[in-house]
Amino acid sequence: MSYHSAKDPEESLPDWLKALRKRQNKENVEAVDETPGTVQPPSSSETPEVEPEWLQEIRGRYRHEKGPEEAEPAEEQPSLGDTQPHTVSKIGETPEPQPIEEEAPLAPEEFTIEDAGAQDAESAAEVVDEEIEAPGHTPAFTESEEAISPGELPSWLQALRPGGSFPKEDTRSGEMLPGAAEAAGPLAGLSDVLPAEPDLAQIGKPPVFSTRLDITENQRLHAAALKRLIDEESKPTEDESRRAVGPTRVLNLVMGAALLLSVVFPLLTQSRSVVRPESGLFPEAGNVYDLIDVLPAGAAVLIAFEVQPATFGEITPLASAVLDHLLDRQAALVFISTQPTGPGLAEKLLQDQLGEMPNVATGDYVNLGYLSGGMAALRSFINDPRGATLSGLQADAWQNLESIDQIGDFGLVVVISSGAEEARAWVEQSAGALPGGLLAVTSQQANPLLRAYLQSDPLTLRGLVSGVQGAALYERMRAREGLGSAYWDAYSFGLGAIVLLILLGGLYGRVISMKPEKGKPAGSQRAA
Amino acid sequence: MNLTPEILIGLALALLLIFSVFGRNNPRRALRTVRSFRELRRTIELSVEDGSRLQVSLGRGGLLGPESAAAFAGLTLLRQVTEIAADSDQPPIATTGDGTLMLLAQDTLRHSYRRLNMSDQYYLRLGRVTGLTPFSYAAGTMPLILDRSVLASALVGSFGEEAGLITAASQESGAFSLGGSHTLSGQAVLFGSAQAPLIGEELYATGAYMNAGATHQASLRAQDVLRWLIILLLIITAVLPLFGGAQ
Amino acid sequence: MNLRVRTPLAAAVAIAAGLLILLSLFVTDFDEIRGRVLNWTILLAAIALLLGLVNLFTVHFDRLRSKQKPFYSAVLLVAMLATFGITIWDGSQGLIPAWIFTNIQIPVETSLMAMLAITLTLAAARLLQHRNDLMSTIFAATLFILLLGSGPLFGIELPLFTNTIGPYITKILSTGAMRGLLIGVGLGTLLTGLRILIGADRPYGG
Repeated sequence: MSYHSAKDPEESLPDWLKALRKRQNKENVEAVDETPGTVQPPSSSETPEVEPEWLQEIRGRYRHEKGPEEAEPAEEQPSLGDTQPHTVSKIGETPEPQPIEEEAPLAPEEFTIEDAGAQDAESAAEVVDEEIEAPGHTPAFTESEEAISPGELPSWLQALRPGGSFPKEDTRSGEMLPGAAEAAGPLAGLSDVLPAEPDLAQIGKPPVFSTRLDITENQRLHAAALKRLIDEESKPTEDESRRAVGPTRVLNLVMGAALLLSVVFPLLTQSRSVVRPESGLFPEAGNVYDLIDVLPAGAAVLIAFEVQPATFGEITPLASAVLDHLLDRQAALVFISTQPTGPGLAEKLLQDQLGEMPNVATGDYVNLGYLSGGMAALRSFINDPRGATLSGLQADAWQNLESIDQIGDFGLVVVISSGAEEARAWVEQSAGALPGGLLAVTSQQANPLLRAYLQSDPLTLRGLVSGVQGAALYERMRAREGLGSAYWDAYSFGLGAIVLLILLGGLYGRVISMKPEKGKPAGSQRAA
Repeated sequence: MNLTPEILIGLALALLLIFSVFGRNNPRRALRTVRSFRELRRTIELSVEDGSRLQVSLGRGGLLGPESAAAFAGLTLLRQVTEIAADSDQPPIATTGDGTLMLLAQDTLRHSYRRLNMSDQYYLRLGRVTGLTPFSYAAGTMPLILDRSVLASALVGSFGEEAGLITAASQESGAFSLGGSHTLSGQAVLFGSAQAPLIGEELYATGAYMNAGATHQASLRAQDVLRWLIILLLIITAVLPLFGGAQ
Repeated sequence: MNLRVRTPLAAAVAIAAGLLILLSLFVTDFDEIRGRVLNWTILLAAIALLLGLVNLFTVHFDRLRSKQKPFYSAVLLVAMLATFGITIWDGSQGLIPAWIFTNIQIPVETSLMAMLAITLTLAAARLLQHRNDLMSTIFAATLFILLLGSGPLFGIELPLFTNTIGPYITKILSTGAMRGLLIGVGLGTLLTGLRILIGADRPYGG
């Protein structure tokens, strides 16, 4: 389907529309005739005798000033007449005669139906609309060549015009742009000139072509669906989340207060009412205890202290319990960390929690410090512990570890870790170098992630103990009271509070999402 | 069949090269829809339209471990986001928790601006370190998001549980949050807190989904083939002893 | 140096270094070279750490100069300079650096962890409100069951969850799922590495 047709649309009009158009044209002519003060444009059906008196007076004066020979249409300048219908005539402006020396005279023929109609904006707009809707229709007034009195140019301007003395201008562009050559005015004969002014000042709406498509119902449905999709795409999505800022802050405060109270209350009351976990449920924690318990006195134990300050609070009870056990077995502890904060935290833990143990009190342990370089450095250390750390202060530390040349020479390797990734790195990188595997003491979050290594073949992880639960369990196995036991009740109450808050928060969210918004039907709510 | 590391690496390389050469212009090889990437693309377009900022968090992973691959995925995203939104009123900003990654982020941004002939609009602070421990990194990133000019925050890199703080900041400021990490704890946190989480290997498909080039698509296809191969091997390994026992 | 010259050079260095490390995994003769390259890398990482600190300093210095929330930037700059200076003078194991670490950094980061606990509780409560799909429902249900099985709630033990369902999920279902995820992550890591190794992906700006 094309919007354009080579056929004259006027010809294809039905009879009833042709009749209607004829009647309309006639009415337009009458309307122009009846408009006071307007210039009557010449028509093919009318003679120039109907000119008003004032126009005849102007014409007489004009002829008188220029002489009869100049007042006649100039045959050698037919193009000049073509410019006339395009002469600007602003709305409501009555054309006035101009001196012939300055400008081309405004002959009565200069006024077309548009000009005349322009005296009344509404009627002019209607006329233009009519023309636009039927691009090929015949104008109501047709100007015959005989009736037009072309304007005249001053001699100096005529001399400048590219007439016959000039070569034909730019025939190529004329071919390329048929009809683009200026046909009238001082630039007649030139092509590719800017459009004449009347085109720019044309009164009325821009052309509107009919966009009604001949489509099937199915096509219409598809178009509607596409439009809906595009509309949805252009809708901003962030509004809903931005709305939720206020309630989020309140909920944060409420949840924070509830959690704080549930944890602080048992700590303040020093409650010990909650039953500590049973070792039978955690065989991997039992493995840690068993392996440390059979360690020979004086055995060197490598402690990879991969702890972040953020989880130091959680790790402290568990690490204290395990290190206490190791120090009881008179193990020679060697600390190292691939975390910048690890060595400092290890020192703090030893001094704060185990300062009374003889080895710690006398400083009979080695802190190799921070091993920079991440995984690459770790691999390097596992391959050659002495070579990787034999520099600066670490060199002095190694003087007490003469028996250690490779990582397998340690009696045990224990990874104390905040997260699963650091522990995983140690487990994977040491898999070949430690045939018996290593032990992991971790934050609760790392426990499920490291379980896979407990079942690996060959064995890479021999024992695992995690979190406050692990601390309470380990203390129970050792029949001692420590931080694990002190925190166990608070842990239980905090856990209960979290479960309750999630449950209540979920229900609250469900209720909120089911409540219809203002001005919106319930059905339009997003399911939640 | 014993799938040794050498065989796996060789196979992966062969598949990558094959798909790079032969699968380049195959229109049938359409990617399945991943909601997170669709949402991200839409948000990038929105941010360009309304002149708001996009913030790409590259995490705290360095280049000396497996976390570097996640960081590279984040850098690819940064490059694509920059090339779309560099001429926005507020250009994209990248935050890292590691020095080496900061250098790479600045390099990526600089080259993207140069490719767009906008070198004069690039400045060094667009790629910045906000903290060198996980939580200090999160704490340093949060104010950038809480500044209401950020429309979307993409966390693609190495994150642990601290990612929860960054996504919470996004939620509070009403910004869209996409999150993917190579760590399992990071993935768990992001699944619960980010609007558009990336799970498992989806993180490494970032380049393919953000139209970073044919090699990224080839890489994704090779990854798919290898995954199916491993699944097949696992099933065979599990089933074979059953038949062996029956005989 | 011109970008056109620098990019192939950078690519060549990157590819050569990558191939060397990869080959050293299979060829034992390359062990020494690998160790040397790794040492360079570690050194560069340490320098990059310092550059990161410089970047942090300059960003906040600029903020202070342009008066964009200058108070926080001023606190950071003063704290950074003071800690840096004291640690250089007193050593990392000195009394004052240890005091700063123990009494400022640890409490601040622990508080952030506590804040995370609240944030994640809120996120879990609102999960189904934001994303009501099958996977989110499974995630929320699993989370809830594991919390019930993590220990006694308010001192009350739920044996069904702590002894049966909780351990079953932790030891069997989640272990299997995690292995699957780790395989996916491993494959992604491998192919990302290979892309860089063949020079198809250049995160170094090429």
